[in-house]
Amino acid sequence: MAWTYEQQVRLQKEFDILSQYFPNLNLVKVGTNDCIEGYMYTNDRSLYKIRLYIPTDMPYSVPEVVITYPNPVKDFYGKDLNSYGASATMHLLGSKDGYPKICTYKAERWNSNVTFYKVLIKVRLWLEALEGHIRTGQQMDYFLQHQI
Amino acid sequence: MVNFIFVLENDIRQLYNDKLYKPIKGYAYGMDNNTVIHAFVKKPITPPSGNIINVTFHLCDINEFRNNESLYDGEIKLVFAIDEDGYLKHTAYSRQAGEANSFEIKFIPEQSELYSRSKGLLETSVLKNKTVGIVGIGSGGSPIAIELAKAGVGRFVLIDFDRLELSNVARHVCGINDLGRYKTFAVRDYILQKNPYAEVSTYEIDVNEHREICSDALSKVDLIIAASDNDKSRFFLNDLALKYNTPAIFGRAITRAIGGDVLRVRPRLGPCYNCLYSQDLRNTEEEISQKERQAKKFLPDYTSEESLNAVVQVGLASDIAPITNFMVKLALVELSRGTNSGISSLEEDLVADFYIWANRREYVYEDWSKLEYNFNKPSILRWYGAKVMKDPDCMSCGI
Repeated sequence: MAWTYEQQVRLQKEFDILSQYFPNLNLVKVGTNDCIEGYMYTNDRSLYKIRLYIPTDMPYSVPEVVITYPNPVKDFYGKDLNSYGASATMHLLGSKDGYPKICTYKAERWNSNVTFYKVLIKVRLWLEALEGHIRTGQQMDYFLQHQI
Repeated sequence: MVNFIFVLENDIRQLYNDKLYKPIKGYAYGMDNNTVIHAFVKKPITPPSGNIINVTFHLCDINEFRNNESLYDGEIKLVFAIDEDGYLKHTAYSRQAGEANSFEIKFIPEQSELYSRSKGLLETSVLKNKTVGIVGIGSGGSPIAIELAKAGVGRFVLIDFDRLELSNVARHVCGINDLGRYKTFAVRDYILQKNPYAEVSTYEIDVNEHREICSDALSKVDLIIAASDNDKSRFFLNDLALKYNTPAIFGRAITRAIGGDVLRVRPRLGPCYNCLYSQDLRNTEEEISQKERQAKKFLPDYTSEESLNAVVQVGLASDIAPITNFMVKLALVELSRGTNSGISSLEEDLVADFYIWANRREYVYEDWSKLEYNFNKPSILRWYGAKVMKDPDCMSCGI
């Protein structure tokens, strides 16, 4: 995928921000996709690996984000999150490349001002909600509001 | 009975320029019992409705013009010659069932004459050479295209991937006869009805999927009209406007056209689309999305049918019209800027970049005062300009 000049400028800006707030995340190639990948710790020190697919039409689309570690990601009942498919209560949008795809932004609420940093902050919140679900058995909806 | 034949002045001028002194088969269409005929040297892109008629254009010398009798039955012959004083003489004959008829030829003048009544008000000679790119040729884009053509804009780039469906007809410029056609082609034909000399390029593409083609198509326009019905395309068009330093006008109607807003982007001189719509404003209103299919693209997979139906509700054409009409006014001001035209004073009135309109006191306009005799409080059916500043942290124009 060849990035346009405007996209290259934007990517540079994105990486400048990420290097400050998420220095553990790196640019990787997955198949033909450019991705941002790396580890995140939750507040109780659980480790997750996330992958953000940089949209080819960046910055006009919501990036897809999956959890690649642990694999599989399990819920309170020990059930693989992939088995939920698209689920409003679990804030899931199905699977991609065999990993659960999580909901961060509604497409109609997306705008060019949303940086990968903001998406990754939502990923952190999502992981905290998952931890809450695993700890209590409450659905993720209980911890995480839907975007209006 | 008065019989008329309408002919494009430029067609005859071309015959003279090419010195085509021989009979040429043309294309003609008869209406109202063939008492009105439109005749063309070349097959028109948009043929008029009516019966197809045999017609011959004959450019001749003045002697032959005066002795013209050779006609076969059912044919119409249009004869042109320059007399001794340099004036164009023209006449038309037909023979129907052995009986000879004569017609009066009326010329459809050049583009500059077509809009002569706008002179003084609009700089028609300037507008003739302006190119407007319109993205989204639906209930918003189609009337804008036609109004700009009527004002004398001479060049258009139309972009839309959609075809005209029955559900569009109530709001669209095009009608039943255009069902199934690409909206770009159908609206191009309507533009040519208003101005047969207009140059219209069409692109039957989805801007969200063919950004490079769209970018090339709009690289040389003088103004971008963003009349698409989704934000993804508008954020992209905003970036194109900034990239090419081209003014752009964005307009939208919200939920069942209870109102709408219009944003003018003058790159670097004011706020851009992203400055404004990345804020909370966008989150308070549901925009009209005409088709379930299109709406589904932008909603999560788990969206309920009820929510989907709420998004696809559309409005009345008469509620969309004030918004498109205002966009046309802003467009003419931008295209005429600096030309000292009759609408120059509007530059001093239309200083705001963002405008709001309400059709009914519902939803977000629920608390507005009744129109009645008030003019000092926000009420429906009036435009309000809002001062909107550039966002210094904007990722589009501030980067």
